[in-house]
Amino acid sequence: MKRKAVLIGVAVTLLGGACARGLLTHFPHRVHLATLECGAAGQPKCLSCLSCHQSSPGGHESWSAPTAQRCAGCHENDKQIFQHSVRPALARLPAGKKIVFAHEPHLKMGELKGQCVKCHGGAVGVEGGAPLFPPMDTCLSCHHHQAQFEANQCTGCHVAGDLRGLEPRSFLAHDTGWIRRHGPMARSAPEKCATCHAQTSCDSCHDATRPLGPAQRNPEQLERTFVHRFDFLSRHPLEARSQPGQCATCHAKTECDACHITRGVSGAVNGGQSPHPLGWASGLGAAGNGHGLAARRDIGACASCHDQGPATNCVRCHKVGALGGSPHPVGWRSTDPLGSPQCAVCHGGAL
Amino acid sequence: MSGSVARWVVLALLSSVARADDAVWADARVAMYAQYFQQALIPGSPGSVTRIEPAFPVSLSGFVRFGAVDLPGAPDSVSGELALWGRAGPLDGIQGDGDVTAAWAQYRRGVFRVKLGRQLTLPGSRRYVRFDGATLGVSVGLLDVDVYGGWVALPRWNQPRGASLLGFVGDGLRDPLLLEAQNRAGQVTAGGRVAFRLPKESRLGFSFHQQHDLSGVASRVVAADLTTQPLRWLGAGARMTFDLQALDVSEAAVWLDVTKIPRVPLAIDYSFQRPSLLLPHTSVLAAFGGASWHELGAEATVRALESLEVRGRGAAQLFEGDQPGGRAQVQVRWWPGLERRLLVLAEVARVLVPPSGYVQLRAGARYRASETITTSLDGAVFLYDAPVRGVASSMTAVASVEWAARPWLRVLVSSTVMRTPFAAFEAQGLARLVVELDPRSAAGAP
Repeated sequence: MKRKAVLIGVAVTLLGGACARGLLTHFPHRVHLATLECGAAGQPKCLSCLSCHQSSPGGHESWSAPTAQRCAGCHENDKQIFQHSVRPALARLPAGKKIVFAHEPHLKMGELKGQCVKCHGGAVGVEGGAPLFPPMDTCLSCHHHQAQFEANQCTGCHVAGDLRGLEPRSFLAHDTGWIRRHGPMARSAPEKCATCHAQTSCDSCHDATRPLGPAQRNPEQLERTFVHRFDFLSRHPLEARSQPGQCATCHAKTECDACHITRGVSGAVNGGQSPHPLGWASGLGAAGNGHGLAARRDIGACASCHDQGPATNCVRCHKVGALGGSPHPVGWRSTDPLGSPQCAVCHGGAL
Repeated sequence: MSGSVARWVVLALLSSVARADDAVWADARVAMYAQYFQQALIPGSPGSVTRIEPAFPVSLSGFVRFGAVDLPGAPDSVSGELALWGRAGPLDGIQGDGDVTAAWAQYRRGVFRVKLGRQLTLPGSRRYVRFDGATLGVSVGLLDVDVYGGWVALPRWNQPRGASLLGFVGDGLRDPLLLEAQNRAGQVTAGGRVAFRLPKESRLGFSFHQQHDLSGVASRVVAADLTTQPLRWLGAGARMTFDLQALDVSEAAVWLDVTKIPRVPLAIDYSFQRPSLLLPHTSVLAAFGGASWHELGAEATVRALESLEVRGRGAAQLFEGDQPGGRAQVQVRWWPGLERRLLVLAEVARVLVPPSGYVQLRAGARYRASETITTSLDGAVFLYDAPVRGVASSMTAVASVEWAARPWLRVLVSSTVMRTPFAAFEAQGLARLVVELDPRSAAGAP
């Protein structure tokens, strides 16, 4: 009950704080552009975006943030106002926002009527409204670049150096479900991945040979999905049973065996402690000979300790003619000949 | 119709010719980690845990990659990558260890490409394979064909008997002297893939993969995969792997990504596995087993505001012939303010694996105190349905401070304390130093 109350309290606090909508910038764009009385005698001259954000030949980057002197044209306490208005995080164009783009011809288009806010709606909006920088979808609503996109030719619009730091939003969005899709997607279109990622990107999570796991190497990356975060050792049997193929993505079964032997969680170690309950294999105890069902369910879990070729203790009871009977499931098929090493263990008298 | 045809003709031409002469580029990253690790053990059955002294392993990892290198008559034709790691530390005397994880160069000319060296491939099976060899590829029009072959870089992936794996940072304490010498002579792989690029962002691929270990053919599979985006707001995919030795489907998956409501992206997926077929066929146990595993899941992200995100996933799981299980997780992320200096994260998860399971409660925060200093605190409690070694819960807290001394230089110090079923108290310390040639690179996390 107490735990529920704490959880509800945390949720309410988060939601309450988040619902306090704030302006996207400190600067009151709306006042300056729309509500300020201007133009008439005794009034300041009417402003447009271009009054403060100057453009010069040279492309997108030349669109500058206003200087303190710009405010001084109307305001006396210009430095104070300027300092209050400018957000350091916005002073530099974020990585990936530098695109090969000409503002002038766009602003002259009839649809835009010289208004920057058609694309940069966030400048006069609030959180939850239009974004400050338009997503790629906005460009593609008029410009069709399917062929270039398929050919991974991004530098027609994007700055080459930026590409390696971009996170796709409009296409291939690394969003909901992406972590489960990225393997098949990488198989399907590896050249698209290579536009931004190196093989090292895969290894940063999947390389089981590295001395430290990704969760330990990156403790500050709270939002990333790490399989082994926190006390994975205690819950790894549950995770392996819950998602049987997951471990095999990176680990070989012999890794399980090595660790179990080291820790003594194996009947193969003198003085070691078998993890199985009494009667697990004999049927004489409470476990009721449950090993068969467990093996049928996920033989991979058995293999994590019992995969020693001819010396595997399963073979002792389940080889041809032994008391355990055939271990093959109904409908079992194999193209391997009976003389192959793995079949001969039971069928060929290899023992 | 004619416009569509013209578009695909343009696409074919674009993909078949050498690209314009781009500037040569390179990026690189080097990360060094120094650890302190100590564990106080819960008394248990003899041999159930391994007692260790405090350990101080130091490891180093790094990579460099480059592209758009010109050869005479072949602009932008060469790219490559080198990645490696090394470790040294006192365990029983100073010991060293290391490995090369990537070392390849690719030459691309016209429709052909060849990639030589240590590289990865994604075969029909789920696990990607690292091998030393060659990949040859050709792209003609809307058709991509790749074939590969070489020696599997498997031995380092196999942790043989007798190697030390200790605790939460166990991999850092691995004793290389205990690694068995392994023969790579018979560890070879070969395969190929044919893929078609189709309209609607679609790709249809067929692949074959065969892998040998010392005992013979460990895996021989064919696979088919399809990804498509029939509508702007709808993506879909499917894949299936067929085991040619067992003559049965070893894995299959289908998924849908729905972004009709941009602020509420939704994903639905179904997965099928036959775990016994994921074992190498050279294992005698591959002939045991047989039950299939199914999972039906859905996840969604709700972005009510720019500053608030709620992510949730639920999945039902079924092993044929056994009780159903499931997983559910809800995570809330909150970045108050435009500058996103503060991230607050809370998470609740429930995992049900009959007859056991666990509940996870997690809370964390990261705060960018200044342009150069970032701190984080992350903690979690796990409550187990069935006690592990007689203990019903785990508690972990991780704190870190990172200093971005220069845009290319970052230093992080972190500390972890834990109380788990395996240790009454466990303390870990980590110092990380990262040097990046290109800080914007997405080539890989430290």
